[in-house]
Amino acid sequence: MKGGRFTTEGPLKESYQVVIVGGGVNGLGVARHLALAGVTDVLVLEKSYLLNGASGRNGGGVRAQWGTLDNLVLARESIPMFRAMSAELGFNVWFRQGGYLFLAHDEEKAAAVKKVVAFHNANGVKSRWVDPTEAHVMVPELNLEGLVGASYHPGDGIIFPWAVVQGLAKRCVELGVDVRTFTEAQGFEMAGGRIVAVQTSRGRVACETVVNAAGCWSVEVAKMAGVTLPNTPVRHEILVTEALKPFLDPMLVDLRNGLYASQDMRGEIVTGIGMPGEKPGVNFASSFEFTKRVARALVDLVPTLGDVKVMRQWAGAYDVTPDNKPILGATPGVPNFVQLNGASGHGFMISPMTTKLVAQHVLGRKPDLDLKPYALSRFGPGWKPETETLVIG
Amino acid sequence: MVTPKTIVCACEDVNDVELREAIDAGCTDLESLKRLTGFATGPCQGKACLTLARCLLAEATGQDTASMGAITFRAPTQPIPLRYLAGAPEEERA
Repeated sequence: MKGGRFTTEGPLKESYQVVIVGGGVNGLGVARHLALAGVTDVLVLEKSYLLNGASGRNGGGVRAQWGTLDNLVLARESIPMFRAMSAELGFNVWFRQGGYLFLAHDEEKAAAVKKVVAFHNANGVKSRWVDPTEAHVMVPELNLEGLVGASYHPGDGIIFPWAVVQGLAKRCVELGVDVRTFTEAQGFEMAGGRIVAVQTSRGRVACETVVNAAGCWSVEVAKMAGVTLPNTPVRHEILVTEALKPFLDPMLVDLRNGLYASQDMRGEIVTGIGMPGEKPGVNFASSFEFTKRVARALVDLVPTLGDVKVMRQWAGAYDVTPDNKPILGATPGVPNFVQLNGASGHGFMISPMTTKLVAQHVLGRKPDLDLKPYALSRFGPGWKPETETLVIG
Repeated sequence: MVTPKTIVCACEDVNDVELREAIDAGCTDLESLKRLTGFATGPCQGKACLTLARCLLAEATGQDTASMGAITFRAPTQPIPLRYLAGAPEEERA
């Protein structure tokens, strides 16, 4: 790739103003925002290759259609930032806004979807109810049997996660951020209730602030500072087919079974489905149970895909919080330890906004949004979760 | 000007020049190289191109191919139509 490196070479410095644990879309995103604000004395630690975590394993869905305001706002504000991203990074992130269809196949789900549409419309998301005839016009290949209707938001879309992370890494290095792959944060040196240094697999670095953007490993990273996060890693599987001529504009979500399917910019169908009874833990193994389940659901929904070949399947992990909202900002008891994790499967699509907010917090500025609903301290006594109904996959 | 280029990954049309540029940009392991160039992500899933890519990477970085490992091979081993995986016809299913 001409005109930019994705990693930095040479020895680590003895100290950095900010050390970010996790070289995914969140770690690199916050590093970029810090660098754009003039803070370039930043180290991003990635324990493996770039894209090894959920940033390289997700389906690239980007949508503002959420069921709680706290998730909706982050997603809604992120969409225009994704639109601007290719130009800002000088790297094509392959963003395509074909909309999302949330398909309802019974009256109860239809009523719930209509209610969610009203909620969206009241909060700046212009989704609308479409009947089966209109859904058929949008996706002629869709099996209309039993379909009552769907919610549709044309501003939703898909992005190529690999390109986003590569573009962010390249931009971070250009801006002077130290991006290190195969370099692990192995421990924190604590003094006076603060993290004063990070022990890495390439030696000790002193620091003023640490950001935990380690995705499904964030609980382990927090533990190194004696902090307990309520997050649980849960495997989610996904597969991709051979490439086809573009025919599928919107992402399809089947609310009967949690199936999602979209056509990416390479022409492949990217699809996944929730697996009931998945045990918690970081597990990247693929299962044939998933393959069968997703194939059945997809061929039922779009029968013409039956002859399309599966190319490969893989797995990643959601970093799930008790209320399916991310954890952003301050850590009670460890003031220079900043959380940016727990995004519960939608971390990629909200990352433009969450990374901006966390960067503002690190810089000591007033964040564009109040971080209180996302703070780790929300899980205190008397906390009651608000239910997010629109986690898919 | 015409320069010779060797196709490394025929499925995704990736040549040696593109791989060398990606290595120069810091992709010094196979997984990173795959993700930047898209090599090994087509119908053969790396069966035809991996050996040549490994040799290129070894030559460019001084690594030993024996210690380089491979990309993670994913199921299925051959591309399979979804309807085979979907199993029995609708009427035979429980």
